[in-house]
Amino acid sequence: MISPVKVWRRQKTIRDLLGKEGVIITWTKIFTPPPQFKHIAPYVIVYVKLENGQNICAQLVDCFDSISTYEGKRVVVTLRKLRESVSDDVIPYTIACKLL
Amino acid sequence: MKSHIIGYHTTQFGELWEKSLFDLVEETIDGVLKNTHIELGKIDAIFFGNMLGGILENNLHAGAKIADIFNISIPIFRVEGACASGGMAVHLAQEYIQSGKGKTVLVVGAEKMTDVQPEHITQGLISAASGEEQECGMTFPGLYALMARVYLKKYRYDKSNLAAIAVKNHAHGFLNPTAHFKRKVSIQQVLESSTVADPLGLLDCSPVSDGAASLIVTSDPAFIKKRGGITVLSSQVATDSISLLKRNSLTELKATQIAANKAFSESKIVRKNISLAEVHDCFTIAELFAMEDLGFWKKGEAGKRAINFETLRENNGPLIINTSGGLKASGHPVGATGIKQLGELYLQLTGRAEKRQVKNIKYGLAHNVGGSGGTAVVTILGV
Repeated sequence: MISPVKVWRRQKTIRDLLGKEGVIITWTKIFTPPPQFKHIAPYVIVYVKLENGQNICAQLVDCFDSISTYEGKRVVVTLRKLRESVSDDVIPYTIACKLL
Repeated sequence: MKSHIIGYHTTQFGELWEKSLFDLVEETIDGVLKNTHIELGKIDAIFFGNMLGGILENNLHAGAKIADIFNISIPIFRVEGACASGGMAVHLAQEYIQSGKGKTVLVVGAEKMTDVQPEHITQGLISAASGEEQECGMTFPGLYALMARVYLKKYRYDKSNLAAIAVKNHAHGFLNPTAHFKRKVSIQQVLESSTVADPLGLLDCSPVSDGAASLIVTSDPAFIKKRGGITVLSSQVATDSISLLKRNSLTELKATQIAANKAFSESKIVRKNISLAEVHDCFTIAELFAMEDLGFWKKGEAGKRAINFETLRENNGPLIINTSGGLKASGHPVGATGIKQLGELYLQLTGRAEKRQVKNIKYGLAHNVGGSGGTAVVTILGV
C-alpha cells in the first residue's frame, strides 16, 4: 500500500516543478521494472537539467515516435499517474516529461 | 596491533533453493570455524552484513536469530549499507578490534534473493536509491545505464568496451568453484544479450544470487602466530549523495575516490604496489569507473584498457582484477559480496587460490560500493 500521507507530503514539492523546461542529459529504457511499473514497461526515463539548474529524473511520456536517442532534446515537466495502485490506495501522481 | 584476517569460508553462490538465509549463515559460520580450528567461545563479537532480509523476508533482529542458532550471548551487530553491507561489516569489525572492545571477531555476510519474483528483488534493491528515483520507476541497472551512456559518449566508446569486462570476469569465474557462473562468454554474446536497461544488457549485469561468506578478524598475537594471516593495512569508508541528481559528475564515483585516497594514504602503499584487486563490478560500467576512481588508470582510459584485457589473469599484467569472477560471474548475494572480495584476496595472498592463483603478490585491494555510489568501502590488505 502507498501511504496517503507520504504522497501528500511529496505532492507539496512536485507542484513547483510543473511546467518547468529543461534539456535531456542522459536516458535509459527500462525493461525489468519494479512491480508497480510492470504494466507500462518498457519505458524511457530521462535525466534532465532544468533551466534553474536543478536535475530531475522522470519518465518520458506522450512520445509515440521511435527516436534513436534523446540526449539534447528539450522537455517540459508535466503530471502523470504512472505507478499502479490497488483500489483503496490514493492515486500517486508524479512528475513526467514531454518532448517540446 | 593491526587487525589480521586469519580465516575465510564461503558457501556456493547461486540459486540455492533448498537453503534459507539463516541456513546459509549457519553453514558459513560453521565453515570458517572449522577452517581455522577456532571455537565459537573464542569469538568476542559477530558483525553481520545483510541488506534485504527485512524487506523481502520480514527478517529483522538478525543478531538474536544468529544467537539463537549458535546458543551464544555475545554482541552481534547487523550492518546495512546496500551493496556495501559486507565491506561495511568488515570495516566496523576491525574498528571494534582497534578500539579494544574485542580481540577476535567473526564477520559474516549473507543474502537470500532467489525466493521471490525478479520484480520484487528489483523493488527491494531500488529502496537503496532516492525517493525521486524510485517514484519514476527507476531500477539499479537503470541508474548505471544513465551513467554508462554519458561515459560512452564522452570518451567515444561503444558497448563492446563494456562487454570486455563481462568477458574477463566470466573467464575468471570459470576457475572459481564457488562462483554462480562457471562458464565463459564472448563479446558477441554480451552484446546480443537481451536489454535490461538500455544500453546495459543482461550480460552487463551481475546476477541475483543466494550466498554467504565469512571471515575471522583478530589482533590476538597467539592466533596470528598460529594461523599466520593477512594484515588489514587500511579500511576506509566514504559517502556521497544517495541520488544521481545531486552529483557534479555522472562519470565518476566521488565516494570511491575519497575512500581510495584515504586508504592509500593510511597504508603508505602506492598504487603500483597493488597487483591484485577485487572491485565492485555490479554492472560492467562500474568496473570501468572503479579502475579510474581508485586511481589505477587515468580518467577516460578504462574503456580502451578494458578491451585490451590488461587485467585478465592469463595476460600476466602488473594488475589483475576480480580473480573471483567479480560480482558479474561469481555472483552478487548483496550482503556477502564485500566479504567474499576480502576472502578472495585472503586466498590469493596466502597461496590458497588453486587454479586461479596469481603469483608473487604482496598487497591486495578490495572495493565495495553501495547503491549508485552513495557508499564506498576500500580495504587494503598486505602479507
